[in-house]
Amino acid sequence: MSPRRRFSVVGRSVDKLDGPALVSGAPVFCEDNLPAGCLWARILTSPHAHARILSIDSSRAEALEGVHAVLHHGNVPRVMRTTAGQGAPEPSPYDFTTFDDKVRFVGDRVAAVAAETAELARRALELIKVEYQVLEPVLDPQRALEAGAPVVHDEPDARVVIPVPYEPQRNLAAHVDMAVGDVEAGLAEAELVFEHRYDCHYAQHVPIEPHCALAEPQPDGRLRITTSTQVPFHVRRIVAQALGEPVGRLHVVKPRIGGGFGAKQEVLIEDVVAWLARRSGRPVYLRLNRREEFLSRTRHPMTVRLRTGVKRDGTLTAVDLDILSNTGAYGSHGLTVACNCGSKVLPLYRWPHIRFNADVVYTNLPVAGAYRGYGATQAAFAMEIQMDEMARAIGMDPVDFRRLNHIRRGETSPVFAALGEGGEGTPQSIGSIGLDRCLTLGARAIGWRRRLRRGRGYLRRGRGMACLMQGSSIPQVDMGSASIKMNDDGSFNLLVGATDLGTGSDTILAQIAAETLGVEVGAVQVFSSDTDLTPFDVGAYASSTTYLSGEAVRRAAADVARQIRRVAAALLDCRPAQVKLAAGRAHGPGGKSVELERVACYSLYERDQVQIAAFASHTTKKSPPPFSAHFAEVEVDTQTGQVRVLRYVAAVDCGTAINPKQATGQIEGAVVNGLSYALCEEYLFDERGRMRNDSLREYKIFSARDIPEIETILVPSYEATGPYGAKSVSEICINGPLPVLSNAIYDAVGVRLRRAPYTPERVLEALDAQGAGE
Amino acid sequence: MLANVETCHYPHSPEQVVQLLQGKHQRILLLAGGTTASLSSDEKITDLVDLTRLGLEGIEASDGGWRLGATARLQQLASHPGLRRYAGGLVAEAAAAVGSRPIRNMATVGGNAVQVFRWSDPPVAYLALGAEFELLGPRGQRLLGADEFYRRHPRRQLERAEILTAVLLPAAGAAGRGAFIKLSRTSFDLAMASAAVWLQAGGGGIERARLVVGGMRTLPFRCRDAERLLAGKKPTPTLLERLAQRVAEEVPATADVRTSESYRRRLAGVAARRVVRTAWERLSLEKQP
Amino acid sequence: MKLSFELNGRPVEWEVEPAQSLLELLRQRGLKSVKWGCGQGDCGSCTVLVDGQTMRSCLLLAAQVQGRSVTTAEGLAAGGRLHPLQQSFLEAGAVQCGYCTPGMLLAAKSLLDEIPQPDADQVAEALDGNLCRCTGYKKIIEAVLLAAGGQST
Repeated sequence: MSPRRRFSVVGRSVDKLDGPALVSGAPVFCEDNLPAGCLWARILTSPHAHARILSIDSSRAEALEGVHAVLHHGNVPRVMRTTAGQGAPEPSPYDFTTFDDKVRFVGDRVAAVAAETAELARRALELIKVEYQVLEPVLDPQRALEAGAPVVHDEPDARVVIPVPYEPQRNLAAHVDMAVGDVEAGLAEAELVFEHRYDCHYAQHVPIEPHCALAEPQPDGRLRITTSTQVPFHVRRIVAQALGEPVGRLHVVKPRIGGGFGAKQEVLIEDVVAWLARRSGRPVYLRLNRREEFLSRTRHPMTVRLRTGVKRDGTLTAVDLDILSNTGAYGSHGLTVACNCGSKVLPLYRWPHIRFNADVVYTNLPVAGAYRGYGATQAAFAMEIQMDEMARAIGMDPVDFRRLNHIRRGETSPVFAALGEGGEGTPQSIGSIGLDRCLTLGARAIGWRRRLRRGRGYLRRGRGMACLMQGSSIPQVDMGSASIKMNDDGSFNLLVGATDLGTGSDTILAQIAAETLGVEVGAVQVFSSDTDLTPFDVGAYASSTTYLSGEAVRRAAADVARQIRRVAAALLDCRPAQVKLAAGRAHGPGGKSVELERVACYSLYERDQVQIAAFASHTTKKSPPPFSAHFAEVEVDTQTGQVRVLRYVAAVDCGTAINPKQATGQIEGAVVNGLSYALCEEYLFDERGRMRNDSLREYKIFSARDIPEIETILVPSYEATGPYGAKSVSEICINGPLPVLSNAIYDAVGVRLRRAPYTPERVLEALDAQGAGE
Repeated sequence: MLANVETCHYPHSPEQVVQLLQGKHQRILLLAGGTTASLSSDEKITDLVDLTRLGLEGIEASDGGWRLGATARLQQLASHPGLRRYAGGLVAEAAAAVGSRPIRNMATVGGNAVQVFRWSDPPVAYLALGAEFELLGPRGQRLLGADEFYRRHPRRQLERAEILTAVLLPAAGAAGRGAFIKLSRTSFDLAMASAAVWLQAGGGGIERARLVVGGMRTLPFRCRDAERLLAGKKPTPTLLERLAQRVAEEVPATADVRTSESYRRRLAGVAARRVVRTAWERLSLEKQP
Repeated sequence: MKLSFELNGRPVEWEVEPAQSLLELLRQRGLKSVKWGCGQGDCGSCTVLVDGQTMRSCLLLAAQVQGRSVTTAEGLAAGGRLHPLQQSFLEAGAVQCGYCTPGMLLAAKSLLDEIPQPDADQVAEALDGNLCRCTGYKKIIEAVLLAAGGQST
């Protein structure tokens, strides 16, 4: 039972702070403010999936009038590092350098130029002569692990910097495993055992704004980098590493960015513009074109093998989850995504015996990285389809089956302690869970118990559902901080390192501060993501901004509130403990009050002058999961295999929704992205590892006419460890569509799809195999 | 990016365009909608010719049929009340199926008809109707029937310095009913397969049929085998099933990123069956008193 | 060549390269609301209105707008007040990262100028050519219906 709390600002759907600028089309994005004299950069990419660079002759490119710098492995130092935007020391392999003498996928980086115009840069690329020794590529993760397979990373200086398994000589980029109890015994105890293979696929985030970055040499010799990033502080550290400069010489700023979804949790192009700026002495801007964006970072394609055991009364006995993850040519995020396959899926149900194993494998294919869902997407795909199958096999309603088996408040799972982000995890018990209510409300909204009209002729309808969990921040690893100062007029400047990618986190953090200070959100001015001016924050990933950075904000604000109360007590002639802050005023006993402006001026100018200000850092002790139940109704065209989603319901427990409108916006966006991923997004490769459909014309994402009726239901719970009871909401819902649609298609036409995406051709093939197709 | 363009001409009559083309054919890029022109990087092009001020933007009723001006936009076709009624509305349907709204606002009848691609939708409907293509060149005006126009790529059918000035939809078209369907992955994707049919009723069944499938290869494909199946018959479910199979066998389907060849073939059959049924329903509905 | 046209309600005359992309030209002249998303006419973030109709500025050449009227998002607000669509986008929560927003606003304006009271399907069709990855489109459609004074779904 969640306590009913009433807040003044938290829980209100206030308008986004940056909204007016965005609807006016104000120049607030990276490319909108290029300085005079800015050079245009382009990257030369590899046409081969696997090759050594025997020689690069850039003399003709350098001689071209208007070209100011040409870089490649011959003139840039080799510094092995990772591109993954994670805290140091990073759990991802150091298998990458800015320019290497080997290329490992079609699209890999060979050289870079900076020139006066985009056209000149393009011509300069054409003038670079590269001699390749083409090597045999390995394009299949299974094959990559076999003896004799081509070795993607044969360089002697590839290494890991934390003690984790790493065997590049057999193309093993990462490995993680854990076990609880005895899985074989658990399966033997079961009355029914299920064992299936699931395959999910490459996909790209398709941020509408591609990766872009600007590097500007400063008069004092420092370098200022403005970049479309989720991780400004990691950018600063890793670019400093790449350049061999002190961190303090770099200044990284995040402007408004046009979407990230994990693609920009990567230090992908900032090293290039930084080097070009250093070499040319001029500002340099790089923007990836759409083809390059498809080849920047992707979701990890995975093969999931899942064995589960169940008794006829619905009790789960054992789970064996095995992951083969394809990280592509570099190991960025490979280990941590694999860990999340286990840590964000296995704790959802009570399994007495658990085995988890994940191998992450190099191939000569595009590089996978962070993508919303981050491993939970791929594992939940398998788990929730198999849960559906088990329920039906024992004659239990899939909703009841989830209710029977899901974790409860106060309970824990051994998985929490066992699986961290490349190391040990953090034990936790569930402090808040509204999953039952999500199931009830979601089922009611879709009409789960109502008889479904199946359809006549070649159109068949069906319904499916799934349950989900995710996390909120990475406990004991990630840190966020905030500073707040008070202005003369009783307003506040809130400085946070936290990164708003369009998610509205600036607004959320302002609401948390405003709530704590007893003011309207308009009284809080937010400045974020500037490595010189704002305090540290790991950045926007792991669903951490509200739960982690938000708590840092709350603590800083609470400290400021204390200081205000002390000054107000002097003005009101009472004790600080008697002062309450509300409605922009400090209230004392006997109905006396004073406005915050008065408090500010008194403290700044009149007596015992001091700047009312505070600073707070926060790390979390746990990662409380949001929970969700998803339901969908689909219509399958059995002549063409086309699947139309008619209705989709997502009931979500994210603790307190700091801003309900923004929360439902996150849910709807994640659901539609998930639907698109499930039905029509895929990478098609030719036999030499080249992506054939590398444009938005050929790689389709949902548009406004493709969406179903979507209903989102916020189910509040109260997470005591989160600011005003909040957990996270940004990732979880992208994980629903893949299993929900498979379950709904099964309900409609009796075929179980365990290979995604569910393209019309694949659905029709499955129908044919079943003999039910027309 | 066209690096060497120096001028843009804005002729006010089709004759002026022909004259310009006679002068410097190789160096001219004709701009109608501009949906494909801007992606060119042809260094030989020095002159642009804007075709949208020639007075060819109209859609007019003409002798019982319709005259579609070559620079009328596809969106105008899609929303035109007269075209939505003509012959069951298949031309309006085909135009509405093109791309998304901004593309339909840009793309022109002429550009779309001449620069035909595998996925082009309106040409499929034009061929089903037996439309005529009005051309103007140095030797004057001529008409080409759709079967001839799409016998090979229209760019090769146009003579030197010749331009398309209108697509003429026949008066006879109004005596029958047609339908158009596009099967695609998402709402504004290029077609995997499309089909258009025009049926004329007689003797209780289909007296004449023109059935065309698109999306198989560059040019729309007329399914003459399948048409023969329909002649003189009523489209019963059994006949439609045979039709689908015959079309699937007949079409020159090839694979691409969207589909395999066999699936595309199958879709062609499904598309054909569905348009025939829809067109027949339109015929039958209209015959009710 | 001299390009004379109407930009956001005001006549302008610019010296331009005829074949320059309209997107590039507009951005060079300070109209940063028009965005580069793909450069190939597939995403809609470069959407402008030409004679009131949505078009892909990344595909248009400068010469094509000779004598025409062009509208960008900068032309929506009037007298320092936000356009009703801009207001409704804010109110409905239809703006997340904001990169697709100018294009969406123009597509919506073009629709409402033609059909003042559209239904949800008509709105979806009008916005079909503008990709968004953040919102899932639902709130954007609601915002347009809100501005039209209709019921949001």
